[in-house]
Amino acid sequence: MPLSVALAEQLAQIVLAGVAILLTASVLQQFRTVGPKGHLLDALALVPQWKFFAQDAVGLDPDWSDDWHVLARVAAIGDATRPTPWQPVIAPAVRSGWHFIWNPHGRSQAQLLAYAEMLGRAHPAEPINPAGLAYLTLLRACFDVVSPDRDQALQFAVVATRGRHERPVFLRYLSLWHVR
Amino acid sequence: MKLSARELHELEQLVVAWEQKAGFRGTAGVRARPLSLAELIVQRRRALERRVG
Repeated sequence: MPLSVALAEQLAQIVLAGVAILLTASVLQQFRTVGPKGHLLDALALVPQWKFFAQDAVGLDPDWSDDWHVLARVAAIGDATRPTPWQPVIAPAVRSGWHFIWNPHGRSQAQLLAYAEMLGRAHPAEPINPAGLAYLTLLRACFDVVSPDRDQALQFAVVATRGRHERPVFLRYLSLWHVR
Repeated sequence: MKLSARELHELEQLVVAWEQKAGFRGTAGVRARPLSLAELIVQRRRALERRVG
């Protein structure tokens, strides 16, 4: 029996050392990106591959911290008059403290922004399918918000901004014109 | 945070450049009969039905 107690203590120390190494590696990962060789050492992927308190994921380019917007405009079908100004449909919301407790539209808003990001990041060599789920969902959201007349067509744009002040604007995707 | 007036103005210019690059200008893309949302939904439904078998 005394032997098994000693063995248990040794095992506990080994586990404790393992947890301490894992925590140290996790903290170091927040400051320095581990290369492919480091990943080989972490074959079980125990060390988190993302940062806790930063927008940018570890090892990814700054484009991944973009804010995504969807805007729409309408124009008369077959008419060359100027279309209406762009109207915001989806924009990154300013979160209040209350949203931490109650934010019923948070998930749907996040899903729409994810679809916008999907279209915005699509490779130019691969044309977007207008009958695809992301395109259709965004188009439907635009029709719901803008509500064009029967004789008007609608177009939406996926736009990315970066930062909070004097932020640059990037047009990432421009849709076809559509009627309801 | 929504786009400011300056950013919307910048967007207008980007859209014009995009349309010119794509081969059409201004509202020329508003064809006589643009694709409707209902048609697209039907297309998607048919594609899904084909995929399911």
